[in-house]
Amino acid sequence: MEDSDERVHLTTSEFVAAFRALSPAKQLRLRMKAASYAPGTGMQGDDLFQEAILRTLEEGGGRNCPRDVPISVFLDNAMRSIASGEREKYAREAPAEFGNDADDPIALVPDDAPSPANTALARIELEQVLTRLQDLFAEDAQAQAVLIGDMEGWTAEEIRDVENMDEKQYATARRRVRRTIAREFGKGSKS
Amino acid sequence: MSTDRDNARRQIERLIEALGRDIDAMSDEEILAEAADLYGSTEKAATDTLTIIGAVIAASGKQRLAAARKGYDTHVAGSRPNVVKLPLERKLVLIERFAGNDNDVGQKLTLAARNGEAVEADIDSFLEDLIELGLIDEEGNAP
Repeated sequence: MEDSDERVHLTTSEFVAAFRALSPAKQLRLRMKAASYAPGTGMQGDDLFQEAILRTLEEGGGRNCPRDVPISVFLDNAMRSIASGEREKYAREAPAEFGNDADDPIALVPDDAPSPANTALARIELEQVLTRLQDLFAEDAQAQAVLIGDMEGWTAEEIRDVENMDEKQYATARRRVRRTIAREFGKGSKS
Repeated sequence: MSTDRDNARRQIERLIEALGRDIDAMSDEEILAEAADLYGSTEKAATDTLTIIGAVIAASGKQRLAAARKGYDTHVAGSRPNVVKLPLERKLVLIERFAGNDNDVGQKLTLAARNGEAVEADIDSFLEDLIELGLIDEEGNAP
């Protein structure tokens, strides 16, 4: 890394040292956030957590931590950015059988065009994630209200009104949603 | 443009933003308590996290080592004379041309090559010796 870059960004060893120095609570907070960011990416939370760190460490990874940014904030943003990118990629990938036949008119459509095949697959993939999310809370009306309310961007009051929840019930329901999603999408592929 | 796909993605994005805000609002004690519930115990959660981090750092170190090694190999390859890049058959012709009397290294190398026993690195080393002696240039031609 050049001198001018080192003045602006942490070196690899500084980043590793700073990360190891984070308290267990701060490290776990990041891991729990990764589990929350994972749905729809095709990755598990722990994989996303590792990927954010790896891309920060690797040469030319394009993710160097600025010196004036706390690394927990940096990594949180990195995980969100990677998850958003993966969700975008995951939504755009089409299976090999689509568009490989030279006689198939779909094959003539440019890759970045929203072909009917790509669109259909993207809808199926993300719909599968949405279906799975709803299935997780099929027997829990309050948690389901939180899930749907969050997805629709409702306020806390609007969500509570759906199931006549008081604040304590609402907080408990939110906790159930978070923990269930963490269990479903959190553990890495090698965990 | 599919509105269904974008709607689905937006719904998921809104959900994770809300969950992220929830986690931001939690105290360290609440984080540890929830981690204990999710991962078995606070100690196991912390240990598992360190294991994950250690694995990433090790993987990154291996990547950097491989990249450095590749760069070194490229540098070494780039600094060797062009004669070592010739096809093996051409190299053997050069060696046979300069093979001398019975005790000559070149003759032994030629014999080994004919028997399929010569290692190309040994052949390259002999050719570099010929260059140093001024018997051939770096392209394998007579100077």
